[in-house]
Amino acid sequence: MTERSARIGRVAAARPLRQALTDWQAAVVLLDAIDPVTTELVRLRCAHHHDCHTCKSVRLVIARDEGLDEATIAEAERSGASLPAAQRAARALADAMMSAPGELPATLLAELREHYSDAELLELSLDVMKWNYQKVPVSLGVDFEVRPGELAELRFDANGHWMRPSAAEVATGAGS
Amino acid sequence: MTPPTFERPTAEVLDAVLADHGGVLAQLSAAWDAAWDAVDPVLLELCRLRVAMLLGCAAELTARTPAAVAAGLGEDVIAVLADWPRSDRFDARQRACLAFTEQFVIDVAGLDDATAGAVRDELGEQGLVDFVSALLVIEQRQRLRLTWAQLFTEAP
Repeated sequence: MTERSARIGRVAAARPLRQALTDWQAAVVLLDAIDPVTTELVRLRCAHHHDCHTCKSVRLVIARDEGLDEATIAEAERSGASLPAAQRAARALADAMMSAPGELPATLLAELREHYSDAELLELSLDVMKWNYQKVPVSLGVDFEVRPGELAELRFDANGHWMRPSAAEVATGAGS
Repeated sequence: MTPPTFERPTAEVLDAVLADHGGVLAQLSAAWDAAWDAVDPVLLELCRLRVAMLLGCAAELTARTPAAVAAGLGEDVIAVLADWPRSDRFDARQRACLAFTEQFVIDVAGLDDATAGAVRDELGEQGLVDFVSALLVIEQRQRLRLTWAQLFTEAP
């Protein structure tokens, strides 16, 4: 993991911009055409692509409840070869969007259309951009691990907002 | 006759593709408006165009943001934007933000303290945070537009 130092103090974006970005992410989280396991595999792909320490330090609870375990996540990080074809294609879409979005390979487009409807492809593309919010904290050097040295749970409330563990929970390990 | 979806301006592409996702569209639009309110429009327009160059987003390259034009950004400056490191048409603030923009688009994890610090020195901490947030909004729209134009032949 790359070491980086905080480049700002306790400063947030101007309120209307911060609010709009928060609400846009929440609106995307509420979309439900894509299953939680695929969502989590795409989220982690984005986390590793941008080396976001915060994103790598959490696990989406509803994906874990659907059977996504750490062994599968570790294998996905190594190669992903054993993942189902649909999930491999979803991760490849994330890769393409984050590197060369104007040059999606024809083979990838064919695979995506084989496994996903237009509505699902739209949601996948929005998911990738939602998780890419991580570029803000990464570039500012404030992408701290939620629980330093260990994994924390990732949950969203009914409105799509991240239920960040409280400082007390982090200090005591409660909720893990 | 209305041109095909992906030959229209980006705002119209978003309207068409996200027609059934009003909440997402409304927040993307709100973020766009807030970005231009939070950052100097000439500075942000230069970075928007540089993002378009790096991503190969032709539609965004041919577009101009009215607020930036009204604030005095001329085509003579835009014409030398690709050569900004060697051009004397860009001041220290613009150069710091363009360097940051390039690293942000290409490899944000590789962005170093000096590049971020140069923007902070020019804009202050609040300005840096606003700039980065606005840059994300601008970049997201272009990545989505480029992706959708290949995933869909028309708005889904």
